[in-house]
Amino acid sequence: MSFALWNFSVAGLVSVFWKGPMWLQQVYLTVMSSLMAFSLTGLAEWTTWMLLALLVVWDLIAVLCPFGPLKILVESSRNQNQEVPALLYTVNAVWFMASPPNSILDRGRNNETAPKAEEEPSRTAPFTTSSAPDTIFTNGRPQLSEGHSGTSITSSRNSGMDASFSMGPGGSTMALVPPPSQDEPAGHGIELRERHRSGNAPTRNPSDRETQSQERGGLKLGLGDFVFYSVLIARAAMFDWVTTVCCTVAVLTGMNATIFLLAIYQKALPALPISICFGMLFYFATRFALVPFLAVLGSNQVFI
Amino acid sequence: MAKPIQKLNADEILTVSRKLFFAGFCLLPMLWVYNILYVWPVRNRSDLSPQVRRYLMLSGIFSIVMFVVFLTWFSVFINYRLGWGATGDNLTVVLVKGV
Repeated sequence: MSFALWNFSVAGLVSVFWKGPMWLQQVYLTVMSSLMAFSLTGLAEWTTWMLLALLVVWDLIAVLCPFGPLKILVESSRNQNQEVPALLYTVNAVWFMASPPNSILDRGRNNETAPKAEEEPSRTAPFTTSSAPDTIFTNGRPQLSEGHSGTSITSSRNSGMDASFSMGPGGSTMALVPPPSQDEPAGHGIELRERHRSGNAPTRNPSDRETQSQERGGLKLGLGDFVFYSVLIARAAMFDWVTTVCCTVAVLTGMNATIFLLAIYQKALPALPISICFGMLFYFATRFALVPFLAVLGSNQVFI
Repeated sequence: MAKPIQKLNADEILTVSRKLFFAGFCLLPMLWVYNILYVWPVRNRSDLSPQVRRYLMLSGIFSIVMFVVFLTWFSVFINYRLGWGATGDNLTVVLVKGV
């Protein structure tokens, strides 16, 4: 057992923080988020709801206010052209099968991923989303040095890399991270777009700059966001099947709305508040209104 | 962070493969599997050093060996766990009720 665990963890570490196949990294991130969400469901029920509500507030503060730690983090990572080393789940637009329309050509590469996200809300799994982790369980204060953020539950800090499973101090950033160098020529954006248009298969461009900017320029979604969405849905699942479905829909709608806003505002946005507010609203509404309604309908055999 | 293998040049691929191979000796056969999974798409690239294929092959052989060992241990453990008394209980992680 410990042998298997040891192997699993080391392989996960290598895949996420060092080199490794992208799909494996995503698998590990997904599994880790699920495990975290699962362990969080051990909390008592009202504790969970209060936690989610407070998270919403914290998220708004941390990301949007000028002194919010996450805002500073994103700014510093952008200024130093260094990627935030946290658990990032990267969107690689290369994996898209469809090609973007011509109309977004003038908007440059930044918006490339965002309009695609709007156009294809029902995209399938290959759409890898990048997510910076967020969690409220940081015991330490965020150390805003070189993109480090907060202490972590499993703080595996290598000396060389910022390999901390850094659960950022609270807010989750849906940062559409723009290309690191502000003076990137416009032709760069067009080049990348044409590459997307030309092939269905992920075309690997040998030029380093493009690939770098493509990796960094993906849509980054906080992994911690997914954890808390999962926690919400798990709580809903413990009540009834109907609440589960409703909350899932609500959370997904919230996420789409957030991505939409991201395309408009072009900066780091908190991904939690909208989705969680929708989710909680729907959960309580469904639980106290819909379920008794459906129970009565069922017992009286009235089918709508 | 997790670069696709195609973006590494030949030297880096060699380094990565070598590191993964030697790290696998720390009771980590998973890293051998990882080595194979990672380097598989580029194993036929012409500018690659022949060492890489050797590492891959050795990783493959060692991982299969370890897998067999693991399987044997696992089957032995499950079947004879009860007969070992206290040791068996100490080694078990999840105690199944009713057995």
